[in-house]
Amino acid sequence: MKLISEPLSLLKRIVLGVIGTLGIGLILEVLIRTRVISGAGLPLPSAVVRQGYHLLGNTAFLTQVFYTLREWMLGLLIASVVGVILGGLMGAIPTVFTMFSLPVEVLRPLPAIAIGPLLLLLLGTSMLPMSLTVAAACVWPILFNAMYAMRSVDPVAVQTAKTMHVSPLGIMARVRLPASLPFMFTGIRVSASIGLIVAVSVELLLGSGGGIGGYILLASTSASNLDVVYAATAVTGLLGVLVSGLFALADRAAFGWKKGLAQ
Amino acid sequence: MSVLTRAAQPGVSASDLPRRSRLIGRRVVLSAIVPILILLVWWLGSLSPTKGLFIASPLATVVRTFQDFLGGNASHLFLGTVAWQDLLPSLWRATVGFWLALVVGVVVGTALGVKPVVAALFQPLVHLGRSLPTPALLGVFFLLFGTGDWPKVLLIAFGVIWPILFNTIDGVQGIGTGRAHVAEVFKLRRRDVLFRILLPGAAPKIFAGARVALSLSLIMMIISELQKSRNGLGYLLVATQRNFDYPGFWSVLLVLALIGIILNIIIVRIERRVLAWHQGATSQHD
Amino acid sequence: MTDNQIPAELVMTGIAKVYGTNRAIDDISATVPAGQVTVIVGPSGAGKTTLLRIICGLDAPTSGQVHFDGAPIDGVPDGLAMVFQDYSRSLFPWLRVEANVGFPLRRIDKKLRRSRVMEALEAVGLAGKEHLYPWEMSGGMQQRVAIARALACHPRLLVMDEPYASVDAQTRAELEDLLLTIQATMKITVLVVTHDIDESVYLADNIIVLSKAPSRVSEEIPVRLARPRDQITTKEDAEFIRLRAHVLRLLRNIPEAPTGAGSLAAKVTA
Repeated sequence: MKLISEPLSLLKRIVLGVIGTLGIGLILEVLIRTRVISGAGLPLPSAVVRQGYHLLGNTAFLTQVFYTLREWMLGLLIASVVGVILGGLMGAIPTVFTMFSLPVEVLRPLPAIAIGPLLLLLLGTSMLPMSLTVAAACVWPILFNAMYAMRSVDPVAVQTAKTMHVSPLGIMARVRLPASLPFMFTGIRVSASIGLIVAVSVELLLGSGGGIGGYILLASTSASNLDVVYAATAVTGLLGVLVSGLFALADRAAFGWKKGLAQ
Repeated sequence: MSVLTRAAQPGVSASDLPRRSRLIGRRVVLSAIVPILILLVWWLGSLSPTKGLFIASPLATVVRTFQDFLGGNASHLFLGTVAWQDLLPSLWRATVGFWLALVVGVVVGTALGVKPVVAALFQPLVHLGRSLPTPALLGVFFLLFGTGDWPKVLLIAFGVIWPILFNTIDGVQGIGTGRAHVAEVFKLRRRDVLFRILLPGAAPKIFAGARVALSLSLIMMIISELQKSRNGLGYLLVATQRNFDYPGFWSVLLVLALIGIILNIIIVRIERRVLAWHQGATSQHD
Repeated sequence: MTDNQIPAELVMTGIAKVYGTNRAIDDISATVPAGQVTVIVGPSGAGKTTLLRIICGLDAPTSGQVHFDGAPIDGVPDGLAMVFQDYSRSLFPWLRVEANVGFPLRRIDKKLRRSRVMEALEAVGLAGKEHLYPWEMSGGMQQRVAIARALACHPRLLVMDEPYASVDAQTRAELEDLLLTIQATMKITVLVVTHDIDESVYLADNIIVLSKAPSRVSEEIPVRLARPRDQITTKEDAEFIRLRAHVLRLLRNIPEAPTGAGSLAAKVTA
């Protein structure tokens, strides 16, 4: 059995990806149209694409898309600030780690989505409770990445700074923090894609009508609107792919130096 | 001066014992501070004249949890009615959905991972799947798969399969050339290559994907029970709120947290056993 | 970081270091004279790195004391700069060469800092490379950056821990000569730790030979080879060859051979 094969070039992968996507769409289209598979609610690819194209020109839908984006970014921002500060301190200072490790272990596995309704009760109907729910889901990857990164900063780098009379605070700011930043950003990247899914989920759960989730909820009340549901879901998915692509680019631009960190 | 008086490194000797027990005492006190503060805020919140209505006190929550989930007699295995009616069906659906996703994800992921051309064909769709807000498809799944447990199980499986699939492809493609050469030089049989090289080599990544999938499956479990449901923890979350039964609502939250913690402990145990070789192999590079 | 660069003297008296039940350093007393190159050489596991950490004030000895210019040290002494063996870990990958070299000079006025950075880069032959990242350079060049960073502090004592252990032989020879040139022009005290015997004789005015752990000073050897030294002529000098054999015998615990023809036979029987 052959395990080694030449890695494909980027161009080849793009061409194959396009062929694969179009091909699968085409096969599905043919199977549904010829009734080889049949049943209510099956997505006809051509109809979903057409509907998706309409949605992109539909201001009502776009308004909801931007609502979801704002909600998601606010949540990610809160999660990043809390995760980087608390995780960083837990990684750098053993006392802080001892103080927070138990609550972190208990709260982390709680499905974030479950606290959405609670936050809505306490804070009233607005974007904030939804963003906080997003933050509750996004904070963990950031917190753990920040913690491990701070803890595993190369001791040689720290000693180097010590021999240069850099104060403990200076070592934190000028050595430990910059050395950990790429890993903190990896955490934010992971959280960004989780966050978008949670944002739409919490909109569906709370059902207050806002965001892509609210739009889908409204559309799925009528069975004739199924293509809209599929299309809106797919558009959100594409948005997520776009977001992770942008984050990957930002990662390469800002932290290209990370290959210089000794493994 | 202070260099001379500074104590030696702590060694293992009898004189260190009181020092050590003082250190342990300090740890216990330190790790209790934040949980106590959280409980205090929770309790004070429940006393608040405005918000207190929505917040059941910690004591009321624990009492209610015991009544609902552990109130049964011996014939019910000491589990309460709510545990039988809602907790177990929820867990059952989540478990079936998760395992379905795990099996399909690993099989398909391995098949794709071995053939770079096939992997490239499906790559955009896998990326898209990973970013899809699956909960949005809840209504569609009921339409496609009827009522009962199946649409819920399939929704959970569809929602959590992506991290497993993605990581399996990644893990299989990431088998080092060294190990691949071994397979070729020794002319191993297909089956041996699969079970002795590919899957063990990809196991750390598959585990990472499974962990993400497991926590996602709890979210999907809740979401799947929001509509057209007559039982389940997700259903309870909505129903207790609708009936202004806030102690009930808080007890569901508590149970969800407990499930998460137990699942986490289980997966850490399994991971430690299955991936013991991996930790040994990687710890040298740290 | 004083600008009047008077080379510093370092005196170790009765240094011992114990980790739990493990005695790493038994008793070390030695002097690093001002303005000279002193090399500490010892078998692997002789606690060389531990000793260096104590000298730099990064670690406290279990007993004994280090004096830097007559004052007992407590923490990293002023006027000491250190070059680590592992340049890839001690240079900061997020900073370009200029910022790496200027890292210890943060308190200094920007203009002056830049001129000192340029001067240090010039001294190690890296003028014009200030805009590169360290990881874009070869190992030898990275170690030059690390040396430049130490020089930019205008140190009175330059401490180097196995500075050339991670570079190839050719680069190593170049860097040894670079160090000697810098020492001659800047007149600083240099303390090098190495396990390479040729290097120790080639660089040193004094060699401190350590025994196996728990380590003690086996011998302090003055080296009277002419300066400036040369990779070829110095290394074929009879005195160089004699010292080299002497250090090797000390490290391997072989008794001194009688001078003359019997030396080979003595080596074989031992």
